Amino acid sequence: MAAYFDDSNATAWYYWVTSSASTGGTCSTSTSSNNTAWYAWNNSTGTSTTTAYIDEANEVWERWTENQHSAHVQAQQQELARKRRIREARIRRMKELRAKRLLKQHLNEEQRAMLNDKDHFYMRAASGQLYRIRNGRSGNVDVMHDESRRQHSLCAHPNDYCPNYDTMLAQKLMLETNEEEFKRIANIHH
Amino acid sequence: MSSLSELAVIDQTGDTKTMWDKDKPDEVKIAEKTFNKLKKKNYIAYKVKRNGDKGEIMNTFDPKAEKVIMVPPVVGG
Repeated sequence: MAAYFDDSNATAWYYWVTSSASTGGTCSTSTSSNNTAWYAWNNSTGTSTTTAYIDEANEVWERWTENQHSAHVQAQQQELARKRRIREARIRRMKELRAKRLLKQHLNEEQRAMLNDKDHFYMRAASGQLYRIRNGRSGNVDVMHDESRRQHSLCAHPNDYCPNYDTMLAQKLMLETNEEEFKRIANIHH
Repeated sequence: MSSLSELAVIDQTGDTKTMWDKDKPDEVKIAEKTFNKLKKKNYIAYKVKRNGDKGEIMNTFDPKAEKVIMVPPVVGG
């Protein structure tokens, strides 16, 4: 080794590279002519075994960063979905409140009180038939013998989706003005 | 000053309102246009009182109506 220090033209780097290449315990002498640091180091420190370690480490690192990234993305998506659900529930609630306000404007005092208490109201059509309209969209119009005895239910509602209280108003208006047509359209639920 | 009339359209939003003053032709025209557009889609129009009395079916637009509610066609469920 000392002999190499005496070579005046050798740079420390060149010395290290070549000495590593030629004297390293596990190096291959066939690589001693290469003077790039990386190549020499790679060869001097165990060739394929080291490369395999590096590859494996890289792979682990990549996998870990990918996992971190996908976990982060997943958490972001979950948070966005949660906020969307809250926003949608709030909007749905506002629509229902607006629809309820409109319905209440078209109920008499007794019906309004019943809607507040029980979420349904009674109405008598021109034929004299008593109906109970419950909060709902389908099968929510009860044909009544009297206020406590139901005969059967009718199912007819606006074809477009609208809040339940709007549906109830539509049912009330149609029963008031065109009861026969409502009964003709409606499906009967026993 | 006359009071404003109201056209409430039942829809997904929980009703959309159009107001008009029967003495203002521009406003009447807008309300009538909305009315006719929805009638073409088979909406049912009810002329109602603000106090909630029984409504009546309205086939042609009445600028003097106090309040109109338009409902999408009703189908059996």
